[in-house]
Amino acid sequence: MHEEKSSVIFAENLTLSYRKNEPILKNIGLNIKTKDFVFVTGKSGSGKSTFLKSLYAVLEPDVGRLNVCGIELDNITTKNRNFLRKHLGVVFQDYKLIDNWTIEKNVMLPLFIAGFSKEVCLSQAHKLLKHVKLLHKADKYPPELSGGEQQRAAVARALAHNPVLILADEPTGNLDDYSSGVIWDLLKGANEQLGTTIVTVTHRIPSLLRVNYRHFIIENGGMDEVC
Amino acid sequence: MKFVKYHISIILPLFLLLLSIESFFVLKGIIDNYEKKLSDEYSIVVVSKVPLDKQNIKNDIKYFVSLKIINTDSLIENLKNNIGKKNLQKLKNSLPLFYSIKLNHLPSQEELQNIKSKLLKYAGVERVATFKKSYSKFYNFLLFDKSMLLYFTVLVMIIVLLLIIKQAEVWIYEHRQRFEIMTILGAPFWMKSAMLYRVVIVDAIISSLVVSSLFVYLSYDSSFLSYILNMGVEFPKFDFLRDSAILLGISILVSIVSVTFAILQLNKEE
Repeated sequence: MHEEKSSVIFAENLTLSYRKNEPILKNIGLNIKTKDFVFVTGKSGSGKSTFLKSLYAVLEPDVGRLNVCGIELDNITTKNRNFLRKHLGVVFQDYKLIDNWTIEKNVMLPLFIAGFSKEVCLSQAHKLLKHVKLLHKADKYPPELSGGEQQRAAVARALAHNPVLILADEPTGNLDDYSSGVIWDLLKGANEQLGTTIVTVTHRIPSLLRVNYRHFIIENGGMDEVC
Repeated sequence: MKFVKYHISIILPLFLLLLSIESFFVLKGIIDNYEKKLSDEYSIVVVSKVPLDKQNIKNDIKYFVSLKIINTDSLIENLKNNIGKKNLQKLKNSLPLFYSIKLNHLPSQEELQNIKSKLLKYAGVERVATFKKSYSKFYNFLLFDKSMLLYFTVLVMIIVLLLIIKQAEVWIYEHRQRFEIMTILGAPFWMKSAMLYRVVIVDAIISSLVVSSLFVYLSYDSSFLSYILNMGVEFPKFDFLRDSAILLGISILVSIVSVTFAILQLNKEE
């Protein structure tokens, strides 16, 4: 496997663990390119979320190489970690919206962090809230919204700063079928229209999703691509 | 209510800290004024058979300000009616020279002992009178107060630091979700902590203004001032701009250090 210019995620002989000598994932190799739509599946506790955490530099490689968006994650500095995270979009099963901020302010957050002016942040947030059909609830607080609406707001936040890569950890795990469909459509739209690379960890791949995707399975500490 | 509680929990310890610091400065000012008054009034009397050399004393005693000869004519004049002219002249000729030495500050007992032993070594010097005991009782009491207040201030400072750190930890716990999300999104340290810094800076301004106002009031309160004057000391003038700026600087420094410490603890945990 060779790292290419179009590689967004490149891993070679990667081992991840929380404790010394207790690896969760071993000798992983993968090459994810721009515009790829990737599903990572596996049983509960297999290490799917651990793998995702390593991609946004919560967990550093024990052994091997991991490069995300051109940044080597081994011994990453705080500056580089923040730089990487500013260029990623993240979506979580529990939405991770700030409860005492309005939906509008939540969506504006990555733009604030990226250093855009308030006017730019506001207009981009409104554009995205319109896109996820939540503009009429811009001034509401997360607890006032349904789970599906909160996840749409979380997707809007993930898209706000046009990231190269969106990482989604069980994005529909808490949602009903209808809301799940809406979320997958939004991620598919970002992938097809904006060319955003999507890596999503999930229990099962949605059957109704019409998209060309790559599928990796995590099993027994290893990761294999299903052809 | 929550908002008030939020601020009071920082304002109150800061207020206590600034109050003890300013009290220390005020007491120091009182002691300095009193010391100046004492040193202006204080002099050492030297009895010598031969004239003293001012330059020699200046070289030996670093606190030396002036050397004056005490005129004995008025004393002899008082004896004019009891002693004959001839004897009076004899007495006048046999009297030693009396000198008064002024110093630039009130010396400690140890310094005084040192000065005394140096003066006694001069040829012709018969006696050195320091009169220190009559001056030193109240002064020593003030010095004792000053050192006690200094210990108290340091103790209050430590307690306040711990209280503010604890409060910052409570805030961080309350805002943990926001901290965590901003960290995931790559927010820099200052952005995550901006809100906490804003709150403590506002509280530092409020507490220093309250303490400054209290001392401005005291420095103009006639009954308080007369009470202080009755004790024979002078209340130092409160310079609002300078003293408030010092208090504000201290309170901002203490709060920022405490909050930074709490945030760094959290970052370490993460």
